Amino acid sequence: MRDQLKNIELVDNYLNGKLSAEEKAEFIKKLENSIELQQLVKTQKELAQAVQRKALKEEIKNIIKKNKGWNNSSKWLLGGTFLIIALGLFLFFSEKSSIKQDNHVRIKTVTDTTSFKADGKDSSIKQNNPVVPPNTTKIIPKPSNEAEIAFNGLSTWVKPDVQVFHVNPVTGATIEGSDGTLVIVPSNAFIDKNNKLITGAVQFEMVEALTLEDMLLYNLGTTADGKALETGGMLHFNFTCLGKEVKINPERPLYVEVPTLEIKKDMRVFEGEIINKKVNWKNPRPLKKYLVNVDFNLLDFLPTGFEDTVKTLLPFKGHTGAFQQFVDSLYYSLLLKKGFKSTKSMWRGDTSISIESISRAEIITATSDVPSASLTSQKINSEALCFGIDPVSIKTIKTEPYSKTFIATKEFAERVIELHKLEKGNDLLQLYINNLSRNMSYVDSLIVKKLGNKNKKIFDAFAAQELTNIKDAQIYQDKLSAYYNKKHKEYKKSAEDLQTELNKKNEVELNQLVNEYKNYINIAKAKQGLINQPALANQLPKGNVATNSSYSFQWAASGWVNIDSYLHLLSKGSEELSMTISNAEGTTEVYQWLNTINNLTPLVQNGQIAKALFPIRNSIYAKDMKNTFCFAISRKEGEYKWFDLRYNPYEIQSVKVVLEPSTLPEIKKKLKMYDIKNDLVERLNKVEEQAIQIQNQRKIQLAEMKKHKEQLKLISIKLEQIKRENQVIEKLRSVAFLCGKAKDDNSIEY
Amino acid sequence: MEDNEIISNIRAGNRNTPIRELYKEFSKIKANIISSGGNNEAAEEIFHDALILLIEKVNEPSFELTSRLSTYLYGIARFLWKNELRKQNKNNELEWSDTLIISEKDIGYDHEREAKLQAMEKILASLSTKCQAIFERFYYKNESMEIIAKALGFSSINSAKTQKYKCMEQAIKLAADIKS
Repeated sequence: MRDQLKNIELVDNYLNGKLSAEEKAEFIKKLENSIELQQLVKTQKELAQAVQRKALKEEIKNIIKKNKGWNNSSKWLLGGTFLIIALGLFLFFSEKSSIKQDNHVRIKTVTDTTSFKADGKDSSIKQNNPVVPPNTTKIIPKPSNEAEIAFNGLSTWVKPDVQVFHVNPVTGATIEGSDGTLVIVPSNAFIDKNNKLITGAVQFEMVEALTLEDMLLYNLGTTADGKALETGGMLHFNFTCLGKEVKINPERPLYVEVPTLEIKKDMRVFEGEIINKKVNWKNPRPLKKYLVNVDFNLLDFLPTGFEDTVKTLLPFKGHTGAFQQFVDSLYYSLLLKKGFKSTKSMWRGDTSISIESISRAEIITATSDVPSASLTSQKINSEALCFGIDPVSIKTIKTEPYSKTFIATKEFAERVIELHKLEKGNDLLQLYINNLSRNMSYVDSLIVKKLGNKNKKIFDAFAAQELTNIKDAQIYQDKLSAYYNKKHKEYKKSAEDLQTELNKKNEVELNQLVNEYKNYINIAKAKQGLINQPALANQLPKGNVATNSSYSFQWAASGWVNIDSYLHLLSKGSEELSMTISNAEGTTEVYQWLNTINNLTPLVQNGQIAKALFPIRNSIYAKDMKNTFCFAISRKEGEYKWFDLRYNPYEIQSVKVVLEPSTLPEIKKKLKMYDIKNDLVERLNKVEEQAIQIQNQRKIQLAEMKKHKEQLKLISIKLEQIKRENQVIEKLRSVAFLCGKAKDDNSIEY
Repeated sequence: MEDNEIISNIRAGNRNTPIRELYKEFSKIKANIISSGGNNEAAEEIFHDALILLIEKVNEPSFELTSRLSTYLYGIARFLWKNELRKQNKNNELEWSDTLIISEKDIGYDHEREAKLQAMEKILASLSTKCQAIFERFYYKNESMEIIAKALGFSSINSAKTQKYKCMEQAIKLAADIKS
């Protein structure tokens, strides 16, 4: 072995304690006299430490990643499964050992958050980033075998899943529930019973009941003094500071947004009261929707289909991907009346244009022989019939001075898309710009007045949203804006990722994928059981209030709250159907669930008979009844029994309810299946749509390329012809004239 | 999990639970870093480095716990972040509440050595995967050369050893090159 290697070995053995006492003494002696050896010891120590650090860093990253992964997925479907499994185990355990345990098992789920200590002392941590949500703990209920489970007086089938957030009341907070509910807590929102401002940490507890599963298991019916309600979701709030209940300052209420797939009309917000251990909804109040500023680069103001068309025309001017800036600049360069702005100079000066990127127009103008009728007719068309919004206007409004007005909102972007389609779009757009300080709905109705019947509808609907102005949301705006921007960015990112993912696929793979997703959608729609979410759809963010629709309202109370509209199902009389419960035991409850309209009604029981009322046959409401379900649940000494049936109330006379032993996880699975308020279908659709769009774009692109090739062929034939003609002429000239040498002689003579 | 449990686990080489436990401090540290001009990546980096320093400290036989581990971690993170800001010529005052003010001396932080270690980590990454595997097994997982020789398919312990020394020679040479 070479000397250096020997030294390395020696040092290594020394550092690892592998030298005998004599060897060690000898080595140390040697070490004292050799700077070189000393250096080697130092470096080898560093080497070993660096190896350890590098490996440790990897290990840390992996552990954290797994930890995070668990946390993220727990918010989703999988989480439900975990939770259910966990519950099952606890149940088993508690029954076997019959040890009395706490009512709650605390599991920390969201750790990516803390900015505040929950010790009640005022914290001086600066919270510059309002998106950083407060400390979150989730209390996961443990099934108990108590005779009755109750939650603040409400009798429930399981302990509600209470999400706990630690909020700094001085700065306020942005809270996102695991099912997507957004709560903005404005600064200084909490007061004690003497109306004194609370400054110590507030424990903010929230229960979300947005799904059938939660509603039924929390025994939350949707009736208001006997009237049926259609629900958009229910929530429960509770606020404490150092264990004492605190109130919300009515002048600084919470702003709550609940995600929904579609906005139903006439929704109101109801307050819950517990009567005889059941909930009744009272005091309906109108919803209130605030406008939220979003960064311009996250909003789309371009006409529908513009970006997609650009994609099919690529590559163009050296661009191969449709980057936002490029698409924007391309749009801005268009003139409403004259086609393209200084087209010629733009293209001529550009030497970087590759052969593919020469537009059709240029090829046509360069060769007189190619039929150019299509282009000229297009030009004439565009000059004569163009209407819509002048790109210059769009460019102008997407600037800083408008960034804090209602122009920079998702809602305004929706209006711009419609304005693009209108003949006087540009003038109508001006109306919004001229009325920035008015309510958006004011301008909406101005526009309705100026529109003919045909186009009126859309803006009528806009006006009906009764949107106000940015400045109204003052105490919420910063937090809302930060949250919306974050969500929009996430959404944009995931949509782009999806696009990239799909672009990588070839035709065959893309076809396969489209078929696959068609299947998924069918299965999901038919609800033939829960499907495992396919990877691509799973990448898309779950519905949230920023990128989807939402119901929103201000709220300043603890307790239950419900977003509903009255159903007038039975206004024209009713038909009765009786359900006979053959084996009721313990606490039993029978529910009627209408999945088309999200109505859950606990039925009144009289002995073993529960009665359900339905709209009379052939009434307009009867068609909503075709997906009627009867659920029955009972609980005795911690054991659940279950019954479910889907039926058409106009085809049968009575329902015989036979409860079968079941478990909570099974019941939950069934309820998930029957819940149509699931945005999975929407995400599946999105993947399918995007894949089909890519297929179409490719087809168009292929056709364009073929056309280009043909035209290029024509050009080269023409050029070949010209070249040949020139050669002939040259040849003839050389015979006809004295050229070349003779030229010099002549020039001297004259 | 109690602090002494975390410590004994780390010392026994069971780092999974301790890291998960200590990760709970991340959000607080992150919020503080972001509030003084950092971003998510910077926060993650600082947190990883702080955790490594903490684990190294805990593994020292002379380590004695004088405060809560989480407080200690928080203090190290603050120290590292301040250090990072200084490197960027930003001398922000960091008002982290309830923090230990930790000095270089307290954790034996040697700037020169840290720089060298960082350089060495880069050098390691540039070595062959075989070299990296030997190193990781020997220095991190504390496997014997016998096991390593078997696991990595060397014909004998000696050839594995020779390979290890050659890998070390290469790393040492690269380190010397960087220095000059």
